[in-house]
Amino acid sequence: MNKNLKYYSLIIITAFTVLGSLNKTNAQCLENLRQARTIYDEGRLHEIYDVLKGCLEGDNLNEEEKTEAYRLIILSYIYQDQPLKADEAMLGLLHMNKLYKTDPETDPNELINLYGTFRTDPIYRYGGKFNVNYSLVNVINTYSIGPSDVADGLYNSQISIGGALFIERDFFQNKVALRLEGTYSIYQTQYTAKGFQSETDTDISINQYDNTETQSWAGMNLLAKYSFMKNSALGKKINPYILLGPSVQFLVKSASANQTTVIGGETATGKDIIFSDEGIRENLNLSLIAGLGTNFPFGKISGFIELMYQHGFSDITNNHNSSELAWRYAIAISDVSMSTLNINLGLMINKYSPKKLTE
Amino acid sequence: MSDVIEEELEQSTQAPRIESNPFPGLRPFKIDESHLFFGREGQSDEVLLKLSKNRFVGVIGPSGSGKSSFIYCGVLPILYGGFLTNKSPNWDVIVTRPGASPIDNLASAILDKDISYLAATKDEKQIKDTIITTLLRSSSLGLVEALLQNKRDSDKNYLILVDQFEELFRFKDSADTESVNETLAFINLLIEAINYSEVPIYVAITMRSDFVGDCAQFPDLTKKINDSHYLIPQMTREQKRKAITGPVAVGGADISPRLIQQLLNDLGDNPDQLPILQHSLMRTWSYWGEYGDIGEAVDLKHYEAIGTMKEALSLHANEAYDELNDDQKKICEIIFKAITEKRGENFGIRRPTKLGEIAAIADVTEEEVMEVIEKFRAPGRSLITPAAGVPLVSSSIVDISHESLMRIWVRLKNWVNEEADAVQMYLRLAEAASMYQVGKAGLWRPPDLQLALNWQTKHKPTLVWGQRYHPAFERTMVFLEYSKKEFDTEQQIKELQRKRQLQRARVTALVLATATVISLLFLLYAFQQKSEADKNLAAAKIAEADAKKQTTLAVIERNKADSLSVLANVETQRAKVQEKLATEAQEKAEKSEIAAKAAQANAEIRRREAVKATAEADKQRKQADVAKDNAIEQTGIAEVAKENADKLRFQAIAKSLAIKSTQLRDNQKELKGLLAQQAFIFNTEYEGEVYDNDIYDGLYNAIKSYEDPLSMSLEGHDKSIRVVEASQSGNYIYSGGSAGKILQWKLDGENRVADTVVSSRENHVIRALAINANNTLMIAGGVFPSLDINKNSFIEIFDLSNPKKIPKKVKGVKSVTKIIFSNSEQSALILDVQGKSLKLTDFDKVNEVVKFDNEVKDMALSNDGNWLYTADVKGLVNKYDLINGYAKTEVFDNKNNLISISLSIDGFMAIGDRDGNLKLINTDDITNVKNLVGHTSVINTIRFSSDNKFIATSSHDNTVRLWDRNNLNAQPIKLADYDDWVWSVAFTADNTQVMAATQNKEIKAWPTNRDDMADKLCSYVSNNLTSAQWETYVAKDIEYQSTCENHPANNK
Repeated sequence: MNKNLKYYSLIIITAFTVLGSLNKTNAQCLENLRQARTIYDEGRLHEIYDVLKGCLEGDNLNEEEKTEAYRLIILSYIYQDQPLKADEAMLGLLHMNKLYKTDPETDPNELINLYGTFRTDPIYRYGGKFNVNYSLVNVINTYSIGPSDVADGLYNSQISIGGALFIERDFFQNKVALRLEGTYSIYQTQYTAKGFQSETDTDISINQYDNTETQSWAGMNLLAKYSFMKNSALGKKINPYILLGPSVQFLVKSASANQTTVIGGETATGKDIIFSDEGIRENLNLSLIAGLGTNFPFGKISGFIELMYQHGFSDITNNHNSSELAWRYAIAISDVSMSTLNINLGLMINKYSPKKLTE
Repeated sequence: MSDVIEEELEQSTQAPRIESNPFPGLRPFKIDESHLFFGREGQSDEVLLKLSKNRFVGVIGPSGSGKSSFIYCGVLPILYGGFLTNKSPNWDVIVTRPGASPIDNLASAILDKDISYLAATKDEKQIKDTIITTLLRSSSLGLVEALLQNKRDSDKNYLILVDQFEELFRFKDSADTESVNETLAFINLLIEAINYSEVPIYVAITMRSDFVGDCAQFPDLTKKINDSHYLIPQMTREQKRKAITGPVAVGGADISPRLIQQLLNDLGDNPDQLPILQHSLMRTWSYWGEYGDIGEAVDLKHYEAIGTMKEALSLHANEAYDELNDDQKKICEIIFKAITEKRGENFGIRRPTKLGEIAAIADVTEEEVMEVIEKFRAPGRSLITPAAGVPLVSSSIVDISHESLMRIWVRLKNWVNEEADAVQMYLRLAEAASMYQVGKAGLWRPPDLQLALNWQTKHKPTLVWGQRYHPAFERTMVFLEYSKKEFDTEQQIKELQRKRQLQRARVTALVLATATVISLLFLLYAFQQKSEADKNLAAAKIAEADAKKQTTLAVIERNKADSLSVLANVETQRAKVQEKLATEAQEKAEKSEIAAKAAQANAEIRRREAVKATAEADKQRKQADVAKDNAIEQTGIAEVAKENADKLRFQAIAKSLAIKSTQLRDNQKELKGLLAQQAFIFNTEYEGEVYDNDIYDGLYNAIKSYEDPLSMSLEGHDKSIRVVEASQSGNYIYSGGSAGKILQWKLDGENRVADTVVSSRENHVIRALAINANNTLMIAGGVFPSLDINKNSFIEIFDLSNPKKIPKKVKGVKSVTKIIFSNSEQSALILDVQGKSLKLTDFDKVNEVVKFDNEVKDMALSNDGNWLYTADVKGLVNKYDLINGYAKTEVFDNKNNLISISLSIDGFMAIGDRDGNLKLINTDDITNVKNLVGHTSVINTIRFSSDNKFIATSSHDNTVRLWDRNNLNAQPIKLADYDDWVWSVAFTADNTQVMAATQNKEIKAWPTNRDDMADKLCSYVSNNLTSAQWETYVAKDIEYQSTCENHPANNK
């Protein structure tokens, strides 16, 4: 029993000693930092590095304290006219705290100027977004089988979803960013038309035809992004921007659920038709995107919300006279182009790589 | 030849191409093909001899050795030729094959020779069949009787040729007693027929030699065989050659010798290969017939085209297989699997099986099975027996025609393996079922169960199939079914559990997602709060900094006051001592005076007495005169001493007043001003030190509290000011800052008017300014933007006659820290590259003239303009001869990093180091060093006033110190009205003010002349000290006096 007691006591004492020494290290570094501040205020710049050098590695100081320590070291080197050492310390600071920014109001200009000679902006950004879209169908030509007065079908817009992964990089002195997006979008449209079926040679009964089409598109967007409030104080917090660029989409699948209603009669669910298999839809859709959005930076990560309008230029109907549709539902498909209104929610991660810029 | 029996001797093959083909393939030669039969010439005689002698002969040989063909084409033609017997040349040859029903088959064979039977109706045929069969079964003499019944010619001889005699043993079902009895009956029929001398019945059998042993169970038969058998010899190479070339020649074609050679080589010594050879030749011939050119010999290419002996049979079998539809292919597979069996690793054996059983195994009708069999036994194929033309019934034994098929036909080989695997699985399963039944094993589980189920799906085992290998088929299948159900149930339970888990996970995910959303909202709220907090923190920090500044100031002031107070007390004590001494002297003088008076009185007595004694009186009077003179002298000494004591006292009081004055707040500025002024008056009146720090401090603080322009800072920079320079004429001050801004200040007495020379610019830090003597040119340098990749930058040259004019940029520098005009003002010296390089500019270009070994921190030009003095980080002071190629001479080693240097017009040099030490050195005698202690941090700049009265030094210890050159032992005036680093200091051209460039955007200004300040104070105050104030601050015993003459006395 006594042996055990000794054994446990030893463990506890050792643990406290280790923890105590860790705390001591922390406390020592905090004391050193306070001392360095005083030394700096008193102008004994050559003493600063020696006071702080042991506290820059490990967890002896938190990020904010380390930043201050580095700042003091950098300033001491600047004012001692040791630019190479100042560069080295600045690089150390930027690697440790990638989001470090100088304060033009309170920081010495020498420090601001030095900071300006480093690459401190993210080299690129990447992320993903989820979108909710609202399909807007533009009818180019209408077709019908049989009497022309039954040709005018009506498209109803529908809400659906999609998503994208993207990578973005600044160009033109960070004024404009280019973003490449890989998208996968599902669009839904509802089409209601009158059809007819000839029961006999003389008797024609008009039916209503309802079709819900679900299109899946894989696409690629190249968007130019311009942040118009980048340098203002508010802009740094919400960073609004506009987007513009072309998009190309490839049809993955277009499937339709069909329903017919005899006027005054019953509604019947017809066979689903895969438009893409029937060659009804074109495989390619070219469009132009315009949008606006705003960032909410949280350190290295930003959330963003965007409102985007995608205007389709391609007639996405390849074969308006599908025999399958004609035979089953007595319907021809209109020539249409597809535009969408999108609300995007996403996350973006900044990738930093600080280095001294060659002037 | 092969084990195939030819039932219809007369039947000819159907296809024309086959007719013309001289090779029979796998089937034996027919009797009418004796002209095609080569290679066994001369061997028939011995057989006939034995037949004649014993009425029996057994032709015995290994499988595929050509027994049947030898009988058909070697023996029978001679027999028909009447060679055997002299009784009659008429022979009736009845060819039978035992098959599964030897007696029925014998009956059929007999009837087939009956012409009336052939012509009979179906019913009649059936009756005849029954009669003969019954006859044969009735007794052992049945055969004799049957032959006698059908005998049409008395001279006729009968030869019963039982081909494939071994079928009696192969097809016999030993478990079936009827079958055993039939075998015995059949043998007895034959023996009895031979022994029956009345009718000439001869019997010939062909039998595979490996079944000879089976004959031993029938003693009569054994005896017959022993008496008369012919072991068919293996063909020699020459005979084989004949067997190849003979038929080709008969067919009217040529065969190339190399093909013959190839065939003989491929054939080897194995007699088993003869059917394969025949088959290959048949196929080669057909191919040659179809694709060969006219006149072309049968050659190697034709042989190779059909796949040679190795492949021909396989290809041929595949042809037949490919003709089947999908269902038939499956049946085909089952047929072949049923009639083969795997023994050993690569060894398969035949397993003749009844057609009906095959149909049962395949679970199809017998007709369907027959259709498939027909394809494989079609004329020209003969891959399966019974041979083409033999009617198929349920009991027909189906067998492969040659074992080599199992070896050569790849597909069959695979089937055999598959079947073996399937059987193995079945047997394992059956074993497991058996164990399970007695409780020695459990149900099967994956992977065994899955394998068994796969087996079941693939092979669809039937009862008949299963019972061939293990009788307990049903139990086995129930075991499998039960295992499956048990496992499925287990899986369903697991699935159910998984679904529940999934549901739980979904609910958890939903809860977590909701929590995440809520957290995000909190996060946003937190960010907003943080932003607020940051703002508050910033404000708090500023307030904290302010508070700290105030505290520091207060502490400094307190310390200062304390030290001054101590000093004042010491002075007061000293004054009191002096006063005491003076008083003592005075008392002594008074005592002497009393003594003198006493002496005088005594003298009067003496004079009265002198009447009596004149001589004594005169003498006494002389003594009194001497004593009086002494007394007068003592009084003078005492008065001087008192005067000195008073002076010291008043000086102490002056210091005390000045210190008290600085300790008063600005809202007591009246008193503050009066005390400072009174201190100044006492100090002046009682000859205190001219540049006493306390007196100066009191005056400066007092005028500052009245916001006198002389004490005001010059504000105009946005960021720290790195350099301040004064013009030598015109009283201008120029300042340059870290924001790149340069301001020009016109000093007109108390007025300071600023003019912006250059506004703030990014990336421009002004470190050095130089103004020429007549104030027309200014050079600015510092850290400016690079103009090229080598970081080359520029200096700016301003025309001060028009400061707004865009400056001229002269390239060729990098990082300038000091600029000095040469005495001629035609050029300027530039300290560049952080002090590593000395450059010279003529205002058009820049050239490097000296590359320093150590980093030079400051430099100064001698009065004559011939020497440049440098101070470096190693603590060395060097001088460079500007006239003689910049020759270097070491002047002084400070042993500590030097930061600043300056030269006076009277040949002195001042140097400051990074620890705040200032040294004044006579350049003519460097051993004459005066240490001036005061600063506590880096001395950034040292300046001599042009009137040589002062040295001003600026430091990172937040002070400027003004050293009185006439009294270097006195403490310097400490210009500490400031709380940040002082970078640079300059005297105005008239030396009346000191200007200091500071880290926090201000140029601090101090007047050097205290009279200027004192003059102002009386105009600021509105009254004089009251009596009470006088008594409190000055002294009660000192007579009140008006401090400011322009105000009435205030002691009433």
